[in-house]
Amino acid sequence: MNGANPNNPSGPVSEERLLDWVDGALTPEQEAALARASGRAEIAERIAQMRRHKSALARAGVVQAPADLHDRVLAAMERESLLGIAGGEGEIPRDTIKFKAPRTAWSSRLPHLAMAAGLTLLAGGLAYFGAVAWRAARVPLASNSGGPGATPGRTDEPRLAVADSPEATGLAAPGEPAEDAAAVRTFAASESAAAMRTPTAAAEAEPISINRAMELAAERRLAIRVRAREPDDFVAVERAGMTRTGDRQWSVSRDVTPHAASLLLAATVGSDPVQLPGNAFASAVFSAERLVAPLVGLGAGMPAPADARLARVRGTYMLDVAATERTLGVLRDLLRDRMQAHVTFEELGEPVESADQIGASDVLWWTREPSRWVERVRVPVLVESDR
Amino acid sequence: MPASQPQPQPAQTAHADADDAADLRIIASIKAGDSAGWSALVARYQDRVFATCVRMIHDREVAGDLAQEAFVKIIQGVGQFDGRAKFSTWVYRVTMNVCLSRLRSEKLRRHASLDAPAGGRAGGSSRGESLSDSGREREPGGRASVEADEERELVLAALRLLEPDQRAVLILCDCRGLAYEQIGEVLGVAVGTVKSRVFRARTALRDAVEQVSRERRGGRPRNAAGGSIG
Repeated sequence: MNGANPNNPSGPVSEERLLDWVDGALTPEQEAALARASGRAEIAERIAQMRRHKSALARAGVVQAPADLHDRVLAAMERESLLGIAGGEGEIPRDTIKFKAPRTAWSSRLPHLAMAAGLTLLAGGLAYFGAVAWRAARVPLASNSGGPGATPGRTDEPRLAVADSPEATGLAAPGEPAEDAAAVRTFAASESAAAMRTPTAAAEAEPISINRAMELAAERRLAIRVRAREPDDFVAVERAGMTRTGDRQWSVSRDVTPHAASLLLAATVGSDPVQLPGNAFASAVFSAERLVAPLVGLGAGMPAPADARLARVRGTYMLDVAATERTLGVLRDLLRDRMQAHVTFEELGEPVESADQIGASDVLWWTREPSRWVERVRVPVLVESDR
Repeated sequence: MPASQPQPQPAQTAHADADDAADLRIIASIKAGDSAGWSALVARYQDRVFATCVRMIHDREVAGDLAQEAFVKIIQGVGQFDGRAKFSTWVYRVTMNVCLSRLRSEKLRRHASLDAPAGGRAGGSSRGESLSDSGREREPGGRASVEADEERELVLAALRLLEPDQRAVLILCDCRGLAYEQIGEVLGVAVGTVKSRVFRARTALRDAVEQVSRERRGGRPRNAAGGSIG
């Protein structure tokens, strides 16, 4: 601040006093005294200039925001909330979990016991897989069954059967219900089709655009495949998606119908839709068998490429999402960025059966939060490992 | 000591109270997890926040981005708002921080670049040159209005030549009409410091206006930060 003027009886000429003058907070007498004290004739004119600039800036203070700013902020907030989720929001901080127990003679032996149990399991596992591998090596490949070098008498083995009739394949046992037999037959046919396709065929297909994805979503034929190095990261997304907070444009659940699961798995092995018995139990058995088969030997007859792909599957989910290109695009990009995943839209062979039941809130749609006014679609999601 | 700014009238006080109450409702709504509060907050403050950004940056596109960034920070930080200051003050503080950070990073980038033009503006880009020519900002009227527009355009051009800190105090004081106490809260400095800065910024602006006028009559631009009453 400027120093005091000792020649001025009315007070010091300071920046603060001059600012008061600009603000019109001084009386005319005070202004005149200040002008005299400053010793500058042009000071009044300069103060007047400052006042004009002040009012010019006041007039320039009104600026209308762009029309899209509101929507941009809300979209950014939606994105930010997703980022928070993918970053592990909602997880229990590790340092809050503390295990404290007095060490006893028994507990001190626990690590040794665990190590011994682990070694036993490892040895047993190696022995088992060795036996399975030895057995598999003795069985000729399906593609060789009809070839010139095929071993006579092997063509009647069930695992090689791709013929149309159950009798010819030997898959239909006498007295087996026709429906289940048909299901198994379709399954076998589709598996053989998958075996004939190259594993990279799906990867080489044209990627589905957002526009096309929207069309497929409207037809209930859209699926999302998430292939990640760490597929378990999806758990954080799932956890957050199950918690309905605020105005989130999506939610995720494990409520995957058997039909949707079969479509997803069929898409995974690159076959036509698998006709499964229409109940959850059968589907569960199917899934369990397909996933566990390579481990326990039941899938000895299954084509290797299909098994390899199914073995990568870590989970199936149902995504409930606003049917907008923006939301789909944001979800895809975020999963891609945060999980370091390869995220693709895929076309299902047939529409996913709707499991929705119309409730009061569907009729009284305006009672929901605004984000739920947008039409929503249910999209099955398949999460798999890329290893 | 005389009051440096006009004291608020009772009607203004009542209006301010109603404003505060509306702000508190929005804050409570956001804190309760109701995202409708986001929408209400943006609708209420978007013009003010955008105007602050656009006057600081002089580029509508960049100002839109900064306003968006400021709103995200405001919404995410609502939980930290302790209510000691007015909410609007806090909104301006966040907005101004976003703008100043941007201007500082721009300045660093310009310094780092060998191609940086000498004597450039303190912020903004060529895209915002015709900012004050936009029809939205022009007031209808006769010769007086045209003259007022010309003067405003001149002052805005001069404002661009000021250092960001000086620009900030003038925008908060004149464009946004904040009291010196509020400006102190926004910038985190004492009221005396605010007054000193405002006066120096006014002096610098006056010099800058003269410089721009000379320049338009055929001169070369130079940075006008600083200056004196004499």
